[in-house]
Amino acid sequence: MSASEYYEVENVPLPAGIEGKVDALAFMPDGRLAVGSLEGGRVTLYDPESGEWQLFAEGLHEPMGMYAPADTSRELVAMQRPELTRLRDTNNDGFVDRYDTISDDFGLSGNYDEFGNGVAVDGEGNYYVSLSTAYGGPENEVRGELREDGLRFVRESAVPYRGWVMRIGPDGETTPWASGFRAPNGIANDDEGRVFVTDQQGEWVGTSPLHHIQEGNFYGFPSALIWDDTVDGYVPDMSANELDAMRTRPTVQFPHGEVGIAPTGLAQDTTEGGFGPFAGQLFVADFAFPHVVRVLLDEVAGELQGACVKSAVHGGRGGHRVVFGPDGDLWVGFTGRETNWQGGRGLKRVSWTGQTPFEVEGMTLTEDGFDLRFTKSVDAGTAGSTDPYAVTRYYYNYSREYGSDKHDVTDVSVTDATVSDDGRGVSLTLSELQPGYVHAMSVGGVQSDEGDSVLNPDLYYTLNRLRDGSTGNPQFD
Amino acid sequence: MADNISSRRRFLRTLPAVVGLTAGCQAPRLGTTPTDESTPTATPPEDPISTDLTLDPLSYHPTRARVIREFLPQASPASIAVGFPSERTATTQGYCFDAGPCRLRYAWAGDFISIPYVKDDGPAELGGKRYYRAQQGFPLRFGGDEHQPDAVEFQGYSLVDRLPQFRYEADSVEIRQLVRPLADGRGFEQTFEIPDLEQAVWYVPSEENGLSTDASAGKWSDGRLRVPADAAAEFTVTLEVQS
Repeated sequence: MSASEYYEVENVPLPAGIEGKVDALAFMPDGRLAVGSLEGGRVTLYDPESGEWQLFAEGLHEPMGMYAPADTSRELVAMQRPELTRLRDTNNDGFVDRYDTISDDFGLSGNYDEFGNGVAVDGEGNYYVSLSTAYGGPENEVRGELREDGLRFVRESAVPYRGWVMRIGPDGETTPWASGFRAPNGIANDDEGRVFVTDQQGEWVGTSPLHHIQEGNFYGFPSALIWDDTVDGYVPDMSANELDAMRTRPTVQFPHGEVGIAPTGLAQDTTEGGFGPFAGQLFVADFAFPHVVRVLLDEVAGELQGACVKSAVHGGRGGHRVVFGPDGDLWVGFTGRETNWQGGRGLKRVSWTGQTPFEVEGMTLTEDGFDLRFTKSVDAGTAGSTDPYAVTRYYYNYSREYGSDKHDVTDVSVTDATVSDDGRGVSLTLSELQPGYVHAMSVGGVQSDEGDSVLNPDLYYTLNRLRDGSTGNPQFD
Repeated sequence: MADNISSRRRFLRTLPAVVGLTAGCQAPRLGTTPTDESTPTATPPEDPISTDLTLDPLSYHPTRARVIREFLPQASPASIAVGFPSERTATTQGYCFDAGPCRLRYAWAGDFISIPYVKDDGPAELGGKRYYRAQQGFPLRFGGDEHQPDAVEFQGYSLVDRLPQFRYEADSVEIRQLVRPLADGRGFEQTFEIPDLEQAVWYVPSEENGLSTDASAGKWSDGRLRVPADAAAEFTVTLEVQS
């Protein structure tokens, strides 16, 4: 069966006056979808019931994320370049008439690449936003302190706190929360209040990652450290191995070209089965990769790591923002632009047909291999043999170079495959497990007991820790 | 030249302090709690704002101001372009309010702005020629006409009579500023609202602009306007291009 038999993709008609660059999405409590766009800094509201569009606000400086409070449909919180802003329609005429600055406690150099991305929210009502680094020095006035050290990098952090995730309290108190991000386009929370960020391949980022954000951590892109005075030493002169000793490794790495190129927005499947058998998992859009990518998290020794796999959702390139609607559908916004952001535009609505695809639903590390959980009962003849499984491990270099090839690529033998009693699980034993490496696994030969092949058989597990908590990092150039 | 006034900074110090970002005022932020003026009403106005999606947001509108946050020339990256409603002014005009230093930076006559949606093509272009540049720094002074505030804090804006009224603080003094175009001629009037002030405020105009300056309250001395505290709750300064 093809992917279209499991998910229907509908192009949402756009009204006259809207090109369809979608840079922010949020569902309001009344069921309308708020769509933010760089086109005039507009926020429009789309009513899925009537198909009508309405202008709600305009003039925001490239809104790249929104949050809709649960208690009103006349208010949004939007992250735009210069600030996190509360938008309110106070006189109930359907148009925002009050823009309240929640926080602008960070710098702006005026560089195009300094996007402000949002908005994740934790269980205590704190907002989280991410601040992209620059791609060039300031040519005009700046906001905030200008530090020359921050200009000594490709992708600068010359003003605070470029390359950081900021926590902003409900009262506006702003805390530099975590550092080390290059172009952290996507940021979202899950239903446990955990915050996740996607970053994009480039200098110091061998392949695009997903990070689980925790206070005080450094996630690898060095220019941000200019604003962390706890760091000993002169950051621009630090070696890769010095920086690696300080960094928190990616929760999940998306192997470049195979399961992502430039990941963007992400959303947790909160539909409780309305979108198929992947409740609770993260779905990640991508500027340049045509599939939405699914993330299978695994908690190991108290930390998250896990796998990624192409999802059955193929919406084309230009994917920018994803959000799950109250009806269980996934809405994907695209933002192809005139220059380097190539791809489609507009809004797509993805609906599960009710047919369950045969996929790997979960992938968890064991002491000597991996447990796979499938969406359907497997054929014991194929799944219980080691033949359908192929595993390769490798790592991506951590250096100032742009991106990385795969290093130390090594095949790993699968020595045993045992099907679980309920028929949906398979325990695999591997000849070795190497922390610090991506373990790429193909399960293409496995069939369901109905004869289905695995729709997306290639999984990529980022193994930072073994079950006993031990790590082992390769040395970098 | 950038303003010397540092924007307000209230970072929690869970990480080390950042040099140059001074601790600011401790007043609660606006925007987290509805204020008296903004309590939502259930009844929409009889004459709602036009929200026609086909209207170009980068062109003047007959009855309401266009308010676009964008990189603008010769201003901080936190600037806001405002286009006056075209029905209210004999000459189409716009101005730049800079949310970094919290002050009006300049005004121009002509078309509104154009935005280069192309990477690295610089700030937006003004659609006309600047006729006013504010070169005096922060125009309001408290505690003496030479005393510029140590810290300012942008708090947002509201649409009042379809025009943006900016809200900000200067050394913890709450200020609202509404700019209206002159119906005739070229120029504008700035209405400042500074409630509960306990001392006089000075307004210092920019020099070398060739504009006439007038005020609704206070007294001029050596080219500077002193407004007593009891008149500062609302006063208007008018700047007009001399014909």
